[in-house]
Amino acid sequence: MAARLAEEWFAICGGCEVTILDIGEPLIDVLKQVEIVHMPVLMDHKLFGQTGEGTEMEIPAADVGLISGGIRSEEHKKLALEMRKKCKILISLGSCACFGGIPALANQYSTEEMLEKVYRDSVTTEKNGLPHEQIPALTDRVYALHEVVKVDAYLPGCPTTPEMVAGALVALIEGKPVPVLASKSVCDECPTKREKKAVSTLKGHLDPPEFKFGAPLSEMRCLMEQGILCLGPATRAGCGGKDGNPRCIRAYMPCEGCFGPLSEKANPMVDMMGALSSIGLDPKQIPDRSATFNRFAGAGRLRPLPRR
Amino acid sequence: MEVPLTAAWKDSPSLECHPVHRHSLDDSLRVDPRAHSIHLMLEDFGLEPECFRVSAPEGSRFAHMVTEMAEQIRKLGPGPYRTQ
Repeated sequence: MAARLAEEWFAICGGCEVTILDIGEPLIDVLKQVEIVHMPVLMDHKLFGQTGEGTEMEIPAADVGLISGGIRSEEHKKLALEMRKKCKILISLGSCACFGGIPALANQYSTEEMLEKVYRDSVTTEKNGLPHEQIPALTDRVYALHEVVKVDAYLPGCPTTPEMVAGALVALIEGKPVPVLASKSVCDECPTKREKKAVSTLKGHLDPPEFKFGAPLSEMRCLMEQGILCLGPATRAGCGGKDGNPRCIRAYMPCEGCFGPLSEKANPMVDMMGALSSIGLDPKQIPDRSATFNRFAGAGRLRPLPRR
Repeated sequence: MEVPLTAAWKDSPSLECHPVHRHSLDDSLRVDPRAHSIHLMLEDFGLEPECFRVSAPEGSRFAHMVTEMAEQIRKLGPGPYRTQ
């Protein structure tokens, strides 16, 4: 019997749904064993009944539930609770569902400040009233999914990797548990060469690193030692999949931190400050440190600074 | 703020010789950059950087500094997160 799959998306760009498609050929085999019962991005399944006859939002019962995106509105909250009620196994898909992701950067400001900036203060926006008709109320901040409902498995990444999604779906179909996340940091998996010489200046974000195209990554010097800010020391490993080498490093780019902090309680700001000072880089050169170090992990970690 | 600060120090104990008689100048200058990071972090968390100081392990100077710091912290009052 095919496993029933439900998928919902909240505060997200849709990239993680594209990742499902990006599984490629193995997806054909996966789809044979899966019956999709609810997926707004793919099918026209209405929440209040197909003709709007329902009074409560309803999602069909499913074996596996995937949710991408953080919780930003009361509607998301209700849908998350409904998904939890109807799905036997609930999975956070992508960094937004796991840690708030990019939308959670707004957690540095109060909702009023954020709305004022977006709808009134921004130089490119005409000053208008705030939208209020036919839209659900915003929550006080962006929540990660696990802050609202119990989550059984996490598939982080911005977007998450096709390999991980396929691995999780296949495991669940076969009745096995979803593979656990690595407990190492990106630096532990990074093949680049560390010379342990102190550096003092930070390069700009668009400055290219020094590397020989086509040469093995083990011949490239650690990007941080080249003065390029890399979030590897404070980020969970695992994005490389079978290849082992972190995805961004493979493209000669520094780690952006999308796999999230090393553990649920880890504070990426503290980990990064330690890493920076140990190689001699002055963290003062980094603008907007809180947001930079918590770029994908704002839910529960970023908050408005206290007023004095 | 106990947790992040403990974490900041945990991976290498920041004890070193007094700057005037450092035994190995290359290796022992670890406290300065770490102390600088902790001051920046306190600012980023919205706390007073005065809450953290570095002292040389000399009895009388240390005692003097602690008294001075306690006085200063009393003046600052309760932490901003506690009063909210």
